[in-house]
Formats: sequence, C-alpha cells, structure tokens
Amino acid sequence: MHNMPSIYGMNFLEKSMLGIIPETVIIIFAFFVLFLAFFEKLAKRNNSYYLSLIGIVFSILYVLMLAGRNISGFYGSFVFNGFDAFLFIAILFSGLFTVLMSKDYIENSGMPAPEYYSLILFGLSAMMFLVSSNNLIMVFLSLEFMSICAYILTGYIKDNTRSTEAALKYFVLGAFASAFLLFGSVFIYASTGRLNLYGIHSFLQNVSYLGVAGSGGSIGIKVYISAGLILFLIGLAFKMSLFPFHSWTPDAYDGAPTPVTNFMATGIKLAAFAIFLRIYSLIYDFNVMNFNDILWLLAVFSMTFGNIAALLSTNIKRLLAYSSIAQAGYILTGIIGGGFYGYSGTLFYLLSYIFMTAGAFSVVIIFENSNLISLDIKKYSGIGYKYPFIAASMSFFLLSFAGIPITSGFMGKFYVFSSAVKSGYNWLVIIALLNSAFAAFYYIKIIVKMYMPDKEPAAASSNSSVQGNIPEIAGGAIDEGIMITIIICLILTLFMGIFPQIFINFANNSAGFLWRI
Amino acid sequence: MEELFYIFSFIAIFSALMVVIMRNPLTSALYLILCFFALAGLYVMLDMQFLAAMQILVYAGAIMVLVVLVIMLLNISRIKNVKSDLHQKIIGILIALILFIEIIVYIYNGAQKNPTGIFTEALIKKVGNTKIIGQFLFTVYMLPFEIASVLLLVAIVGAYLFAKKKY
Repeated sequence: MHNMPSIYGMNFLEKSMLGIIPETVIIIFAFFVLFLAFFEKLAKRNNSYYLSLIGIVFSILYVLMLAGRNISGFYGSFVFNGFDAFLFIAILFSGLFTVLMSKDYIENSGMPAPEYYSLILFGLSAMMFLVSSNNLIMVFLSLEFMSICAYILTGYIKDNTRSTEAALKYFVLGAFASAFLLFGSVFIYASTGRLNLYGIHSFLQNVSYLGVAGSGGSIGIKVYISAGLILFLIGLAFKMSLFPFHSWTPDAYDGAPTPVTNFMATGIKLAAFAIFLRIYSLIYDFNVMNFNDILWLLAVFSMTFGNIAALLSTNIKRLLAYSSIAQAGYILTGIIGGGFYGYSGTLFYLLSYIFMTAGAFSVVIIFENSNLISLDIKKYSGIGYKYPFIAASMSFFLLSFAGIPITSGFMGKFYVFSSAVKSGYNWLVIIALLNSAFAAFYYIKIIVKMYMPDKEPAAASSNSSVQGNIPEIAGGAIDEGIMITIIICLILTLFMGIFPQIFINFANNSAGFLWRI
Repeated sequence: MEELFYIFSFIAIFSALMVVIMRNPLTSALYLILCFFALAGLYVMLDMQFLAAMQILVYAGAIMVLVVLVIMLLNISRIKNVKSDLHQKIIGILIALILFIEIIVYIYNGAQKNPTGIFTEALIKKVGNTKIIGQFLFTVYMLPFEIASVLLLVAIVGAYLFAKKKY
C-alpha cells in the first residue's frame, strides 16, 4: 500500500486537535445553542445569547493560549501560527460584537433565537477554518460553509420580502462565485498536481513553469495555472466584494437583519481577505501573470465605484455597504503594495476596519430597534442634540472611515498607502488619496445632518422645534450589549489611532509568519 | 470489451438526445436516468467502480428523484406553446460547438502519456479504488470530511428554517 507521511508519529491526533481547539470550542457551543431550541422554556429566555457569548470568550482564551505555537496538522490540511492567531482574535471580536448587538433586534423581530445564534457561531468557526486552511479542498469547503451560514442568516426575517430577495440574490450569485473558485482550484491542481498550498508554493519554486511545454502536453503549465489563478481570484473577489463582483453587496447588506449585515461586513470580508493574503503570498507572488495589474484595476474601480455609489445612496445601510466596497479597495492597496510592510499594514487596516464597522452598525441598530428612525439618512437630522453620546460616537466612526487623523482609519490608510508607495505604485496611491478625500464628503454629510438639522420643515410647522420631532427611545433604555459594543469600538478605534505602534507590532509579528513555511 | 464501450456510449448519446427531443418532461427525466446509468457503465469500464456507484446513487438515485418529484408537484404533463426562438437555437448551437471544440482540444492535449504518482494502474486494479478513496478520506482528508458533515447540518437547519411557515 501507499505510505502515509510518517512525520506525525504516535500522537498525531492530539497534535492535530490542539490546532483546531478554537474552532472546535465554537462548534461545540453552537451545538449546545442549537440544542436549546428543543426546549421551549429554555429557548424563550436569553440563554442562547449568553451561551454563545461564553463560547466566543472561551474560544478567544484558547487562541491566546495557543498564540505562540506553530501547529500544522491533519496531514497539512490546516496550519495554526501567529498569522492565524491574529486573525482569529479579529474574527472572534467581530462575532462577539455581532452577538452583543443582536439581543434586542432578535426579540423585537420575533425571530427564533437559538438557531440564529448557532448559525452565527457556525459561521464563525467556518471563518476560522477558512483562515487557517492550508489546502485547496479546505479552502473551498470552509468558504462554502461560511457562505451557507451567511445565506441563511441573510434571509432570516421571515415575512420580509426584502430579506428573502436579498438571500436569494446572494445565494444565486454566491453559488456562481463558488463554482468559479472550485473551477480555479481544479485548474491549479491539474497544473501542479498538489492540493497543499505550501506544496504548490514549493512546486512553483522548483519547476520552471515558464517553460514552453509542461508535463501536460503542448499547452504549458503556465496557461493552466494562470487560468486557475484568475478563476480563483474571481471566487474570492466575490466574497471580498471587489468592483466587478460587488453587485450583491448593497442588496444583501440592505436586506439582511442589521446584526447579520455587520457579520457579513466584518467577519466574512476579514476571512476572505485573510485567505486571499495567504494564497497571494504563497502562489500569486510568483507573478505567473501580471496579477498586480489586475489587482490594481480591481482596487481602483472598487474605490471609485464604491464612493460614487455611496454618495448617491440615501439609505444608511446601503451607504455603509457601498463604503465597504470602497474600503475593500483600500485594503487591496496594501496587498498590492506587498512585502512585509504591505501585509502587516493590511492586517492592521482589517483590524481597525472591524471596530469602525461594528461601531457604525451598532448605532444604526439602536435607532432601528426602537423604530425611531427609519434607515433613511434624512431621518438622522437633529439626533446630535437628543442623543449626544451615540451621535458623537457615530461621528467618530464615520470620521475613522474617512481617515481623519487620531482615528484608527487614518493610521490604517497611512500604513497601507505607504507600503504601496514603497513598492512604486504611486498612481494607485494618488487615486486612493483622491478617493478618500472624496469619500470624506459623504461621511461628513451624515455628521452635518446629525448636528445641523434642516431648517425648512421647522419653518413650516412653526412652533414645534426640530428636536421635538425625534421621539424618545422607548423606556429610555438602550440594550447594554450594544452600549458595550460601542464603547469597546470607540476605545479601540481611538487607541489604534493614537498608539498604533502596539497594534502594528502585533500585525508585524503575525505577517512575519507568512514567510515561515 | 470494446463492444460494451460502443453499446454504453450509444445508449448515453441516444438517451441524451431523447432528453432534449421529448416533449413530456417526465419522459425526459426518465431518459436522463438512463443516460446516467450508461455513463456509470462507462466508468466501470475505466476501473472507476466507486465513481460508477456514486453516479448511480447520487445522480440517478437522489437528484433525479428530486427532479421527478418537482415535475409531479408542478403537474406538467406536456410542454405547451413552445415558441421556437431563432436566437435561442443559434446560441445553443454555438455553445454546443464551443464545448465540442473544448473536448477535442482537451483530449488532444490532456491525455497524459506517462501517468506519474504512487497509484499505478496495477495497484488500483489490485486494491480497487474504493478502498484507496476510503483510506484517503479518513486519513489525509479527515478534517475536510468532518467539516463537510457540519456544513450539511447547517444546510439542514437552513432548509428547516426556510420551510417553516411560522416561527
């Protein structure tokens, strides 16, 4: 019979299991939460909410415990090292915020809680598997796993046609994208004969793939692998919502329940960028084709299109969706910049992006929860005086999106753009800077709306002041989970802006692991 | 053996044609099952017993049951008012031509003269590829296999949630 690699020795299973403990903990808690749905009494109260919070906290603790190790297990199906530890923490934070902000939302809309939280947890574990996967099969499977959780959660509001429509659109387009990804992996496998990412890496290092005739006949390996990498890029670009593959983003973000929108905007985007970063550093970096030119175009179009569309949109969720497309363009700039600084800058930007986005969405949820304000941006006028803290934090997050100094968004953009300049992509950075100046306009437009209400309706209805039009939050109480989210996001956004050195050191450490094969 | 190949491929092509030509959807579906069986026969001839079994179990067994069920639920006995669209025909012929050329190119280029790797033809003949696939599934690809099981569970939960009329 064939010989299995015998590098693992006796305690192969123990070693392998150690690396997937964070994911396993999340999956076990997801099963517990799902199990609660059997019992009506247990499902009615907030048990599933607290249980999933505990699960996520446990998983974070396990990641911290494992942080220094470098584990590869299950015959190289996955790898856990500093790079994964950084991204696991970021992903788990995104899940933590999603769970924290969805308590009241779930109660108000009457959706079944246990299934919802278990799907969030399953989605989290899928993202972690995706980040740490080191095998084309694992990449595809965990990407599908993650997407299926997202499809179900998008259509979670039962009687809402917008939600169902969004889920259907997302599902059909996502299935197409997955097919592209699978087709791409088949091409890569066909040309290299390996599924392991490190294996493909060493194959490309050793074999002169540029030769005219490869082993596959008269068409060389180069053609096959370029076709495979392009198709693979399409599949991942869909998940990253880059320009030509973005069309699902506004609809899905708009139709989904707002906590799920946050989950998609932070978690899924983070996981997709993380796996793209790993594959880019291992395979795309060989420059089989001029992939950087393709990525250059994608980044420029994503930024420009996202910003122009965000300027024209009047719904705050759609605006944030378009702005997330633009942000994906900025993040891609760091990957194009490449090298050690580019990757660590990208990681820093991804981390800061999570906190800004989660903060902005939790403010949206506060107003959506109490049915005070619809998602129309016009309705936000004047809330700056009624709810000073919430409005101030929203403005801070929006300023961070725009990249104003002392926010984390500024530092993230700084690192990403400076790495691109170092690699000589001057035009890309000039376009990106113009774009972020342009984007500041619509972010600041919302802040202006919040603090300077329009005067015309006030003049029409003579005595009633503008501020009087904004109703009180029912009972005057905001769910403490959302407040905790906003406060954590606020502190970290500020902290990453003022003392970026601590976080960039983390990012540097974890980016260094990409080269330690 | 060569006669068997011709018989199977004739059945496959004939039933595939009938799937397109037949006006009754149910008859088309039944011809499609016949096509799958013929393909399974071809797989057996290539020493791919596992693939053949999967072809019959998954395609002819599970997926076609779904197709037939949907046809029965919709109660379509006959496709009426079929508009023969010229554009559709042209596009269909074009796509078929492209696929045909693709297959020719693939067969011309892709046929590997000397297969490499540890699984030689003699070994596969001796052990049978079902055993090899099983061994791989539970050793090298154990983690993907387990993830697939959780994925299916999530898909079931999703189907249950969407099918439920009211919470």
